[in-house]
Amino acid sequence: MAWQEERIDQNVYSQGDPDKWVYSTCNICSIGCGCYVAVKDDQIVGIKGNGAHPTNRGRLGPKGENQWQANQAPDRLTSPMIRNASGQLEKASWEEAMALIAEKARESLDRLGPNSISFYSTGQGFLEDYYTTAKIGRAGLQTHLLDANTRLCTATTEFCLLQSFGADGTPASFDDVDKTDVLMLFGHNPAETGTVFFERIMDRKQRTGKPYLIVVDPRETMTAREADLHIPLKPGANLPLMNGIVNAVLQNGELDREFIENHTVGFEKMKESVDGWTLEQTAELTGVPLDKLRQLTDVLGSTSSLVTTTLQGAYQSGNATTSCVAINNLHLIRGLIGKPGSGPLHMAGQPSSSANRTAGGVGTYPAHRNPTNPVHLKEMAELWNVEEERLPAGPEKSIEDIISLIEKGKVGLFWNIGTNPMVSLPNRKRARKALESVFVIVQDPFLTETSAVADVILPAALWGEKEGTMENADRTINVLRKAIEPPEGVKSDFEILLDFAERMKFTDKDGQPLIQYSTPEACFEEFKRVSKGRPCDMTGITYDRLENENGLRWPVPDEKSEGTPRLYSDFKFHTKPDDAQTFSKDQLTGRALTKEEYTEIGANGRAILQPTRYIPPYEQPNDEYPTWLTTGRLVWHWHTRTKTARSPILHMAAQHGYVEINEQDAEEMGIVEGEVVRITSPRGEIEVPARVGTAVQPGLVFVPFHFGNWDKKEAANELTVDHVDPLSKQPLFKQAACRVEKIRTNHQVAAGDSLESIAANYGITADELRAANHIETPYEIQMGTALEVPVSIINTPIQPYLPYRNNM
Amino acid sequence: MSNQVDNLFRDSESANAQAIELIGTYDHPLLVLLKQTLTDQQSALRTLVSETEGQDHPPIASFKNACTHVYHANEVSMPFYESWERAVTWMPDPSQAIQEKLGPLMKSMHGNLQEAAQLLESAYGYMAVKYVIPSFYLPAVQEGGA
Repeated sequence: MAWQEERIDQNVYSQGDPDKWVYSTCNICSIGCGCYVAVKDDQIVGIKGNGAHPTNRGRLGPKGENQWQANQAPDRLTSPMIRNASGQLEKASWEEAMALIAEKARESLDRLGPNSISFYSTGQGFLEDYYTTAKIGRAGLQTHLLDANTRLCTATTEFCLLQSFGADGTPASFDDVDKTDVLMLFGHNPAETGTVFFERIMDRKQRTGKPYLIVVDPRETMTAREADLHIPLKPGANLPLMNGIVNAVLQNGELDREFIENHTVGFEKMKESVDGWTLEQTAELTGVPLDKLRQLTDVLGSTSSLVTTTLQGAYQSGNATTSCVAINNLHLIRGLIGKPGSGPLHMAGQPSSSANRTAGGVGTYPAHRNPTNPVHLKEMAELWNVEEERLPAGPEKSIEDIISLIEKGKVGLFWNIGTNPMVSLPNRKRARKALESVFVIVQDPFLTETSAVADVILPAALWGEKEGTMENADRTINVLRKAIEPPEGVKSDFEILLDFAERMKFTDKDGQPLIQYSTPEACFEEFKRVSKGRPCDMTGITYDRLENENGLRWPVPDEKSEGTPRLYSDFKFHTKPDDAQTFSKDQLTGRALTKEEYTEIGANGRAILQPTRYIPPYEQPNDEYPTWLTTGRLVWHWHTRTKTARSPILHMAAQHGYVEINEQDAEEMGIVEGEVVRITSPRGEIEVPARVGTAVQPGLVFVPFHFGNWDKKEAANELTVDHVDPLSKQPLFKQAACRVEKIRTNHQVAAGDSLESIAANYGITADELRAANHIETPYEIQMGTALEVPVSIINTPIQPYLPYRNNM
Repeated sequence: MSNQVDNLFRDSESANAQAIELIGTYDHPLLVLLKQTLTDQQSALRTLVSETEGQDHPPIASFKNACTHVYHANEVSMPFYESWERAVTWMPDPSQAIQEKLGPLMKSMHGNLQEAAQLLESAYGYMAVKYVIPSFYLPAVQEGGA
């Protein structure tokens, strides 16, 4: 067990002891902390960590501790709503809402065909919901348009794994993080996005000095501040950095030649692709000093154990999949995979995004089946007892493809489950226009910004009000028991999907209902049969085992198996053509390869070293938009704050959007702390207060993406670019161009004016007025002097969250 | 292969060649990717045409690989093109000069391949082409199911 000691974090608001504690799993980030839900008088009144769960030993993050407050929020939706003829949403019965949905689905099928219906789900639901979506979508509606907001956060995980190893499933696990000598966090800021995981790292580091911590991030994040080596590269420079590292390792001969020879293919092409990436050239493109690069390559070239994690800094940046593939390449050429303390650990963003990939709710077919392989679709047809013809084939479509299809009038119904795309999608003006043109169902516990484009709203149950399983970032399946009934009028996602399937009269080839299970547990039992023999084999898992053993990592092929902490310990990869989850893609363009091409690669169980050619960012600063824009997360909020804004503590900790500006840039522009500035990109503008400091490098600004109220001008995704990575089709939120402008009024100094009196008149301080005008002494203003006055100054303190510092 | 299908592939090849030439040395990153895809598509189209040319009804296995290659390349080329179109609207780029000519070529290629897919499905049947041509090019899937 990783932690030396348990620490039971608890947050309960109850008069008297809870009536019961119900076994569950945190539903916020991808770490998958075990917890118990406190119930009193049939209400959720709190949460405590599960001390026996190896992932967290009782610890919870700040969002995890406060998530239950959303369940009790007074603005929970308790009735479906339908948009009426005058454009207003009005309450409706479940019967009316579901009948309308079924009618619209049939209408879309008749008018536009099966590929005209799109599910866009979430990474916060349960595996059983995703599997049901996959079955209804593929075998019922015959649609290939199944995607989720996991596309925005973890699609690159999947595709980098497919490219290198043939199937999804991150090779290393948290156990390896506990054992490794060197941990490289690549575009990953767990101090804010996975706090318990970061505590776990720091707990060991403070006790033993290990691991040596490398953080690759353009920002000096809370994580970077704890690093032994921080690599503050320029935006969009991930692949140049990796190519430089891999080339240096090759040049220095720090290779595991036996591993390369016996367990990989593609070495020569890979080598050729990084040829010429000298450290000097790498330094130039990344902006990282040469001595730091040498230090980095020395460590990576000599360590005998290495875990590399990746997250949004890698996934949402230029060359996303290729950068992660380059990380896989590094592990492969050094033979640092499948061994204790070694392997890539490509993370996930959300609590169950991995489950959606595994269950087939996005991209590929259930249990890692290849949508272009007839062998796999034949299996699926047999498992579901449907005609093979019914199952759509071909490469997957992403949300940006779906937006494009909507624009072309090819989609008739868009079903949005448990996500808020009107805040989270890039270039949201375009997305809104598209969604306004199609029939939209929004299934959510609350009215969100996406309700603005909804034709029907279905009130959905929250965490604690339903049962099911989730898969965390390291392949651990955890169970969540139902603690209470949902509020009256509310249904779980699972129940809603089953209702829809029944109304649509989906049947198998014997005329029996397509969906024959009626509980999440029975659904899970069916999925187990679907998973048998596949990489994610869950045959040996039961709900009871998950509770008794506090989660199990797949594969769990039989009841005796205790799960698999590390993949590929036999160095056999899923690259035989009829085993692989895809026939892979061209590493540069993302073009899906044919079976013949994949077979020609000749991997047959060996890992694939892919070439890693660099393409510069699609949008870069120019004269009109001279500054890099990047977006990201805060420790206090989750996604679009649908849940976290309903917790008073979390809301108070970070109430509104802002822009982080380097102090040097702020000084040059005369921007003062808290001054509301305008950020404009080629797609839109926002007006938010400035936080001045050194977290971002000069020439770069950072805007948190959590905020997106239509009434305020603070949504980061008004600005972001909607280009995607060619392989994973993940949007490139991390790099866009923008300009920062002051919003000022002019004041002409009159007789008797002083800095103090003028400042007081505008509600700011004299110091702020002085800084805004580059005035160093009080004597510099005279009657007639023109002063610029910031229109608004909003103090935006963000409390740090530093539990790992407690032991220091 | 029917003359009609042959001609559609040949027209696509011609449009493809023109598009590659038009892009020339423009170095917008999205055009670099588009050009690479079109070059890939061009090579597959040449193989496809040579494999089917002059044959009345060749077995699908004899041209399946090249055919899939072409459609998969086309499936990624369109998003690259559309992304580039948006990109040059947002930020002026010298490559904008070719937008007026490149757009029709891309649309013509896509349209020809869509039409060819329909003809191939009619000639060989849905199940024969299901794993050869992606679902969004196939009318049986788009207009009422298999």
